[in-house]
Amino acid sequence: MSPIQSFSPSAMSAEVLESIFVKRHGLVSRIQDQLREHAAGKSASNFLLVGPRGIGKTHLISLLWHRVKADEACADLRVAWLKEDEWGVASYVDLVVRMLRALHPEDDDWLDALEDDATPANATRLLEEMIGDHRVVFFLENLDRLLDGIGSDGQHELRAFAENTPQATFVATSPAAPRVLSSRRHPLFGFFERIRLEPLSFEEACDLLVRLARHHGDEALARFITTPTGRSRVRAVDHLAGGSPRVYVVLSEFLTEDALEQLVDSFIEALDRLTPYYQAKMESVSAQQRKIIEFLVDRKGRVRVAEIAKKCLMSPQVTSRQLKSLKDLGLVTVQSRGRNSLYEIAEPLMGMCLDVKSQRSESVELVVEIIRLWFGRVELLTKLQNVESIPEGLRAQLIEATRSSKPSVVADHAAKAVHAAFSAGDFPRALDEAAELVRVRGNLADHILLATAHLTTGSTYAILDGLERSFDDPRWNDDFAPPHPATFAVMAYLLAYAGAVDDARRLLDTVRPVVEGHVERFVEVGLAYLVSAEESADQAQPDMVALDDASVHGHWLAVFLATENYEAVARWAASVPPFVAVSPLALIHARGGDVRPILEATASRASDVEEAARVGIGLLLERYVLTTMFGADDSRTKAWIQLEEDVQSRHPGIIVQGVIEGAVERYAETGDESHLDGVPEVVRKLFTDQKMLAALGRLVDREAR
Amino acid sequence: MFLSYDVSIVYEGFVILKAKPGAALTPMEIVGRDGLVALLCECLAHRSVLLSGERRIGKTSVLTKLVDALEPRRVIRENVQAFASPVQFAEALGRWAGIEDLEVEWPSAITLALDTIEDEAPNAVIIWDEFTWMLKRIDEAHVQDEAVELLLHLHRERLDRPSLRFVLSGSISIHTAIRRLRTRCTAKDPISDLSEEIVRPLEAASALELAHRISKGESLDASNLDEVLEQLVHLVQGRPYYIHDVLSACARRGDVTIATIDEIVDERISADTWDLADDFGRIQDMFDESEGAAAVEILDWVAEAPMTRREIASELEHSDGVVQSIIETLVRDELLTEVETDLSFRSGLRARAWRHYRSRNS
Repeated sequence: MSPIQSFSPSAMSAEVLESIFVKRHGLVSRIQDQLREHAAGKSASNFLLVGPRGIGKTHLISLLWHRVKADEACADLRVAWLKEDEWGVASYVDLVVRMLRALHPEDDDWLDALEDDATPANATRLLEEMIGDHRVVFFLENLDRLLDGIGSDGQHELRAFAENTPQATFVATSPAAPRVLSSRRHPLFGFFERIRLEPLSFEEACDLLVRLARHHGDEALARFITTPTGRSRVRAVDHLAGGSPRVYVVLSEFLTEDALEQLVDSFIEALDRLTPYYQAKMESVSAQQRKIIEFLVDRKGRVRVAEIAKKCLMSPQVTSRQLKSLKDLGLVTVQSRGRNSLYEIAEPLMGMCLDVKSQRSESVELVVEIIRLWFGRVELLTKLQNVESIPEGLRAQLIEATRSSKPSVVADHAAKAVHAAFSAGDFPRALDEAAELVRVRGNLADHILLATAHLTTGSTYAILDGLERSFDDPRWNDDFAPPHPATFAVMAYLLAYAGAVDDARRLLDTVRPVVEGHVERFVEVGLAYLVSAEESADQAQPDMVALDDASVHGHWLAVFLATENYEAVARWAASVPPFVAVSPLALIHARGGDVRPILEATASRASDVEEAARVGIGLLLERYVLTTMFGADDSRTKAWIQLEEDVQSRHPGIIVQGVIEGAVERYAETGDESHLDGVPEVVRKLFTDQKMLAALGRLVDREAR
Repeated sequence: MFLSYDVSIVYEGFVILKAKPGAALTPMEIVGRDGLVALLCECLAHRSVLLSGERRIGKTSVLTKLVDALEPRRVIRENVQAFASPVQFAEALGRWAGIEDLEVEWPSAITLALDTIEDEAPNAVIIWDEFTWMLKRIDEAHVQDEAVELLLHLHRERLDRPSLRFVLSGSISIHTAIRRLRTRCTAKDPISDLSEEIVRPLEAASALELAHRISKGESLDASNLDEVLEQLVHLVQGRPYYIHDVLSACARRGDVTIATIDEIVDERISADTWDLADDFGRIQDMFDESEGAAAVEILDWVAEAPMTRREIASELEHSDGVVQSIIETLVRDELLTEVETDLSFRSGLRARAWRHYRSRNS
């Protein structure tokens, strides 16, 4: 097995390069196709691959080199590779010497011809003679540095050489597009076809890490990466690495690290290894750009141009220009908000490395941030209970971090991924993503997503098993309260809804000792009847005694299912708090019942904003459940959404789902509770009760493991 | 292998193409330009040519096709921008003529080299591509007046050799460069013998053919492909480099729609890849402060919607004469065009670039 040289892919074998290559297959094929055309006497673009350090330029060019070498259609094509360590090119003649060396690595007799006359014209002539009638491709790494070195005169000479020698073509790389290539006043304007290499997406990063693990023969790691825990750690790396494959490779070495203390040590070591890499990035930028980066590292988070300009004592115009260059270099990212552009450091890890080196912040803060991202709230809480060797100060900060309302970028990405998977109808993926989401954040909405995903893939037992076992967990105490009973109710409801009646019953039996209050009791008992009614649905003669009993006790569902008695349902609905009725009514709707009048009557009973909000939540949940269970295009789903919108339009007091979603989303994004100002207390509690969410997450995490 | 390769690139009777922005294309890969090449051949029957055109308009491709069309005449073609002195130029000319180590001053070396070429092929055509760059570099070296001397010397050589033909090419600034040097020529106009020809964008039909051939070559398809490609050709005003560049980006995305093209063009504008803003920087050199401000206002207005001269004059405080003079300059400099009475940007691309340029600098 060949080693992975995270910093020098040019030293890797073709097999290794191929085995860990992701994302850019199309691009390599495209360039290779054109080189085939070039070999056959036609033209080829002069390609310039642009991307920040560590993005994979050398990997791509190394792979291309091997492929071209092995390609019969390129058999007559000579490949001359000026690697990234070609320092000291200070003139066009220097460049030509390197090109000649790359063409003829075996000897340098030709150097004699330059000794007496080292002029550009003579160097060009020698190069042309050495090329002769052969077709040649020059791979030039770090073109920006080479162009700087040869200066304007050299650029003219290079352009003239290229035009006078159509047998030669170029494939170059550069961390940023050299300015001279996009200025009409410079000779190489438009000479290269510029292709920007985009960072790896999360899925591509997972693909890379799985390939790396397999390359190392570590099948266990390859499997781990596909688990929810593995994926959430990759998300943490994704956030830290900003899509840089090089950083992925370094951080992947301890993806499976579970021991808190060792992880901290490993991270510190990794930061040490990465620091020179980031320092080199810093050294490659101008003083003004460095000042901006230092400010962004200090400031943490997204910052407006005006503020950067003010704090860095620069004009907004200059600041904008420098930020644009930094963006081209892949060192900062920009996000538009209204008319403002907000900038931040592209790779948080870079900020961390520079921060540690500048000794400006407590290292404990750094460790907390990494660990928070690495484990997610739930896993971290568990670890903190079990690991005694953590210093008290660090432990306190870590516990605080788990309770912090600080938004988690990792969770945010994971939530988007769940919704994307549902939208694409990819339920197995939705299940993976939801499990990961619960691990890193685990609020009520996340749990509902996970339960729904389980149902869509038929793995209902998994939910139940985890919940059941959790009740024997000795860790229940004041700090780690059991989940909100409504969660069990919702899950049981979903289980029964999907026909997993045994599972629903077991869940109800399990939770009965801890649920209290008429809301939960209603759901619990109602579901129990649902189960029995389901079981007796095929019987010609339902148990009328049981039905009477259910009717007396307001157990509407059993009555309805057995008799389709809408009057009974309406009576029952009028007797319970309005929001309690929403879910059962949705179920009846899904079974073909006309619940419009009952729902209207229920909604009109919402007497205050809290009640209206509860109804709004119910509607939101049901829309989601129906969409997930039957699909957005299903007639039942569509009819429900229409019904829901009609009800909302006639009862404006009911909080429209979008309002709730929007507010919570903004809150999740910013951590600023003021976004929840317009949201009724009941909704806020659902989304911000940290104790409840932590405990919930822990339960499901156990299940996932 | 070659047979199957060539067959694979022929589609419905014409050669399909790959998108290769900036590549030195072979004659077979160059679409259009037949009229211009025929015109150049016709010109060369009588006199030498000064060929100009803006950067990346396709001058080099025209020269490639010209060389092909001139066969079997002997053609010496060189990009001469590498030379920063008449000595270097003369040495290279000697090498092209097959003479090494001319131990004489550069004017004599040029004469000797041309003598040799003329002896061997009296009707040879000598093409010096990027001639303007060379002149500029020599002029910037500030060695006496070598650039002017070279121009005058080459002028004399051309007049002395009526059977040899020369093509001097360069970007649009060739006029500025030579005009500036010409003012320092005390005797004659050093380019009076040259027929001046300009490389313009491709005609719409050729541009569309190019776009279609690349689309085939890159397997780009859409239900409304004709409409999409027409839109592209219109947007870039038939500039082949832009057509190659945009379709190459489409090929990498595997998608060709009007929205994709718009997105790619916007990316190019905002990243300044095509340096469209370069023309705008010249406005401050073209006008004084007050007129420059008026010119900017005019460009702001017509970037949004066409306007008539009368409408523009009524919005500005300057006298009508000044306004008309500003407009004339903008039209002459090819920033604006006047169709019937409506003034607008010469291309939609320029209008977009102007809006971006203004928002970036405001």
